[in-house]
Amino acid sequence: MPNPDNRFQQLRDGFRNVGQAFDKVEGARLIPSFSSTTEEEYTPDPEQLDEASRFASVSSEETWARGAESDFSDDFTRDFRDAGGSLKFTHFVDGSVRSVRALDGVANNLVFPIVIGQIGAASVIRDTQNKPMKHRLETDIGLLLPLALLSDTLKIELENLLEGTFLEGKVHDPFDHPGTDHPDEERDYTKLRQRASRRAKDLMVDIERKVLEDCVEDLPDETGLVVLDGSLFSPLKEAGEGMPEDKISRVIGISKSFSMRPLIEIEKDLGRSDCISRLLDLKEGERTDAIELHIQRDWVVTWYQRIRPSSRVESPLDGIVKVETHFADYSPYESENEPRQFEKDWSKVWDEIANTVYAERFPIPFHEQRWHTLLYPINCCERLLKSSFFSFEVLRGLCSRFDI
Amino acid sequence: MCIIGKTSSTRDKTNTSDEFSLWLDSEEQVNPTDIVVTQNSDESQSQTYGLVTRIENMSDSESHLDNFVSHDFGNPTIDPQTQRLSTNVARCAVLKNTEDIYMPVISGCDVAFADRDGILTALGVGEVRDTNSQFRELPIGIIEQSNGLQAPAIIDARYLLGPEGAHFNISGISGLAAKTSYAMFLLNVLLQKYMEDVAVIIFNVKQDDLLYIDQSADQELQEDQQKLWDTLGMQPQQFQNVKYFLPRGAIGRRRIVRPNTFTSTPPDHLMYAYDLRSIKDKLSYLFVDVADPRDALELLIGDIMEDLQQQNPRIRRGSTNFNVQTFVDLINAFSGEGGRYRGVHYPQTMGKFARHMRHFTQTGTTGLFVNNRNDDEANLAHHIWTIRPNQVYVIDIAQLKDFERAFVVGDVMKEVYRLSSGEITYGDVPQGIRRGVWGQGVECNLDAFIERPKKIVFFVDELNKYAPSSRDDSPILRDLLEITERGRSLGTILLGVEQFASNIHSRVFGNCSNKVYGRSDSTELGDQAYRHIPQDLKSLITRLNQGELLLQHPLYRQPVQIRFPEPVYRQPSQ
Repeated sequence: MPNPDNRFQQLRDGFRNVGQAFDKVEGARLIPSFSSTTEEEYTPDPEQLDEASRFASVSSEETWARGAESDFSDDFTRDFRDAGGSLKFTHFVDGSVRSVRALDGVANNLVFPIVIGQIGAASVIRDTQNKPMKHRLETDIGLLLPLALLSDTLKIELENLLEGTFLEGKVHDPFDHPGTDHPDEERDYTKLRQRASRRAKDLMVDIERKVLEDCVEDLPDETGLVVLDGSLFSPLKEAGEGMPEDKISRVIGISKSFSMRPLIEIEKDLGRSDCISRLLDLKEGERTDAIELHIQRDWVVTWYQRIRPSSRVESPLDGIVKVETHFADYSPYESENEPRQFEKDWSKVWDEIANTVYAERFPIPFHEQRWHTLLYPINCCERLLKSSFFSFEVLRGLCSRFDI
Repeated sequence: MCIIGKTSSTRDKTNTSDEFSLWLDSEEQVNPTDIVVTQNSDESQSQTYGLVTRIENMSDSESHLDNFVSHDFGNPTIDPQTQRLSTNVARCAVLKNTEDIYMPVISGCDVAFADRDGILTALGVGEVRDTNSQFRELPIGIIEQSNGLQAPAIIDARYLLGPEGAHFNISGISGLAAKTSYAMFLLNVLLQKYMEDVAVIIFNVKQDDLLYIDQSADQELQEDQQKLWDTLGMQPQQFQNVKYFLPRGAIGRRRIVRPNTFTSTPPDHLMYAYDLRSIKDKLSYLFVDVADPRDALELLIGDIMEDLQQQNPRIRRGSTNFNVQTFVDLINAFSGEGGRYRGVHYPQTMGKFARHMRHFTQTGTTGLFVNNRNDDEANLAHHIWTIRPNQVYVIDIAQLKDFERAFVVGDVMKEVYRLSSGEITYGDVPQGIRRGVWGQGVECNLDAFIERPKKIVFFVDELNKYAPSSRDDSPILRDLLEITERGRSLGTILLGVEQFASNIHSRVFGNCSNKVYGRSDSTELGDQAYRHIPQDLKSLITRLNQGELLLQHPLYRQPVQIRFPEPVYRQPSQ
């Protein structure tokens, strides 16, 4: 990792060149408009947003669910605390984005945000005394501006002036996000800003996937697993190239928050109407039945489990995490209507994983807003990442010193 | 430079010109009073030295409630899969910047233990030593860093012996602070280093502890002790050129008079005693602890002393002149009415004087006060006047009563002060003693003032008895104040020792340039006498081990912890 002091200097120099590029083009200019918005600070929670967006971006035919238990329970819930086993979580991974609106650009009769995205992913392991320690820390900085909406002249000036600078190859177009509308239709400032943040998230997922792969390679033995903060659908698909099957198989996704959309899908596909109410009634140490959830060609086995007693949390959904697995030796349904018999007692495996998740509920990062679902090693990853990012004050200083 | 951590500054705990923090490598250990150095990243590449004053363990837990909750809402048997993040953070007081740049140390600088030269630089001694030719080096302890490094705690002796400063005070709980041992160590190195200039007077107050200081210790010197002496650059040797003075005891069987001392096998010594002639100007020292709320007694004693110092001491009683040569004469002179003093002093005051004199010199004395001294009973004053450089006097007062002790200490201080002030001529010294000191063949100019040692250090244990904070005035206190306030120019140095610095008169304590604190309790440390010590170091004083001391010297920017070698002279009672 470059010396942060030098990185700041390089970023400032690169930024100055962006200003020069705008200066050179008739009608193009920059307007100071610094504001600190991070995707993680959005309401509702980003994981909920992600999940909702994931379902929204595909048709209902492409989304389906089936039971993934060897023996399905009557009431959709089961106690997992008697499960034994030898599985253990050895690596914990989280990614993070800190994006700020640095400036507004004016060009082509359009006002658009220029966003600085600090992105990164970190993994944490435990030493012999079970103290958390850094395993990997990968960070990067990107400049997000809607290149597709800019004139060729401005794009060429930018390309020329950023060549050889820190920002060479680090200017990203928010419209590169797969599945987006045609750029010409997007001139709304707020949506442009959301797209920029979204693109920053994509870039983060790329790094996160790389860190995940490193972790899987470093797993000590067959019993070790990697925990990812969030859904497995991200490394499976969203950033373009998905993770290889054998690697994603060793990763467990744990989401601190979730939308009800998959449960609605599950109720529909399982022919039940009580899944959501059963979820709310989960007791500490209980999980829902595992469900095989398919979105387009990707699938995960997922369940919800309560890791905090409901009496200790404020809301009925607090203290419940969503767990996802994608084991390579698990054979998913080929289609919605395929009858099948499991060749292995997968319920026992899910119980074992659920119990391993449950064992991670202490210590509690009680000062965090989502303490009831945030696992401590994941919290360590977050802090590791955030401590490596430039603070908002530094970025604000960078933008205020920028000679426009 | 072996890096032990990095400097750290946060929103809440900033680094300042006076303090900085550092987080520590988890494998490293530091202790309060360790001296560390940071490599600054400014253009001058300066180094900042800091004294560790406090070490905290910080975790990411924001409150105790976090920790309670983290154990399943209060289940102490829970053992979490992951231990909380925590680190040790040391807070340091800035001692010195090598370029005298006192901008705050920024976050992220490398920190290491200071080396031997660095310690001297940090303390402020290195610079003076290198730039001031008058610097007088004196190692008075060992600074021990947590990385095992041992370095001498060097002071500038000009701040101990004058003229820049003077005096030394040692305080601490009895037994745990090893105050006497440290004082003796200090005198040992002082004599080794500056034997041409320094003479020492020691009062032995406890058994026979200091009656064999010219004899080597019974046990051989251990290797670790030799190492300490080597670090100091001094020799582990017992005192040389020691003269013992033991007090006269009561008349025993067969009318034999023996010294009043704890030991039955005293070293070669002189026995000292007092008769009226030798104390006629110090009579008031006997009455230090006698209540005298209206100063009536003091005024009477003043008149008596004036009369006694005439050529033929006599006191008129009515129309009769009483020839007063002895204590008995003096008491008898007041057995009736007051004579000359009638109408000047109250009869009750005169009666009180007579009663107390009878107690001090007849019924209550251990034998120290006599009507007539024998030829073999020394007058201490004569010997004080003839003390020579590199000579050590040990005056035993261990068996004396409190009023006798106070008298002896007052007497010695008075004579040291008179000698230092140039009041004593060679002619004042009896011929026998004069010849014994300066030789038979040397004929002195009897009217010339005695050429005394440049520095006379006298070691007073239980200083609180002679300079108590509870009294504003007493004859001995007046002399002590005179010595502590003018001593640095006269070359009269007080090495005072007491349990509680709070019990010492503030002017006596305040005039001591050098102070050493042994283990003390927190109640004592709450006193004003300790107000200049940072709170964190006060806490350290409460847990100092035996032989560990906190040293304060005018050149040092902060007090430092020191230790010292064990005594190398014989201590029968140990």
